[in-house]
Amino acid sequence: VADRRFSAQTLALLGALEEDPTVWRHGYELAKETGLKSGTLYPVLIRLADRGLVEARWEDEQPAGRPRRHLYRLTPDGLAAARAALSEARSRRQGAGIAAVRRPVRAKEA
Amino acid sequence: MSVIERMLRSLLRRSAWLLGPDRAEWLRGLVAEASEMGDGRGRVVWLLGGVWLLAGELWRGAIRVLMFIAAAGVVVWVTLPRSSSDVAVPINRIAVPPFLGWMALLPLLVRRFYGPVRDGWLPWAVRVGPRACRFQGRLAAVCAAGTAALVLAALTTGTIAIFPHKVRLFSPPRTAAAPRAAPNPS
Repeated sequence: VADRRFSAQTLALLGALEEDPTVWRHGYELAKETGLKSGTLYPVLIRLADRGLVEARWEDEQPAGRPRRHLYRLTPDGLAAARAALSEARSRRQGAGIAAVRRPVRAKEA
Repeated sequence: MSVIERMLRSLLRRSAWLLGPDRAEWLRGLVAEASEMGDGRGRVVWLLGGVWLLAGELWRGAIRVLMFIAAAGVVVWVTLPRSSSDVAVPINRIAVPPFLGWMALLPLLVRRFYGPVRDGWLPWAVRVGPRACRFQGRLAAVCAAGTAALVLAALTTGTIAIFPHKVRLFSPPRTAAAPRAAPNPS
């Protein structure tokens, strides 16, 4: 699972969920944090849940003034996958940055 | 609450069952979250995302059904004999419907007992491999049986039974034709 490549949107969502993996988050909060629209956020959440990386539940009690929330958080597998994917993405980004810096030097050498 | 928002909420609530019990919960969650959005336009955009989710999930399900129908059509086309009395096609028609049923049931059983389908070439090979082997084995057995029956028929009757006009493999021994009677000059 850890070596699987995720899309940028999925990585953003995994990053948001990975910040505090014990806390149950709701969709609007995640959308605000990641900048994803609901039509993107929920399909990504569903795919992650299908793979066993995210778990979902409804809020236990009915709060006053608003409907019950559907809550999400990473499973232990999801946490491991998210950490691996995020560190891989960071190292790739750093590698790309180094390559971008080196490229003009190589061009000058050539 | 605007008319459009009310319509979207109603549409999503009423059509959630189309996605099945698991997916419907996600859609209901999305609709519940719409009330968190501040203004009416934001809520409509959020709910339109739900429509997008609904359409996407329905399309994914439709693709599976269409792919199954296509695969079933190919199986029927390949295996169902045109004429059951033809000795060159000795497959039993009865074997085809159970095979199609097995094709339909196997993914559901795997999902039920082994969780959701995983990505990657190895899980794909595990899913498709046994069915492909079984199908290939069945085709090979049919071809072998057909060839054996054909050869046997050719050896015993001297004709290829698969062609409607019965092509002769060996020319039959010529028999001397009886001489025609001479025309009567009178």
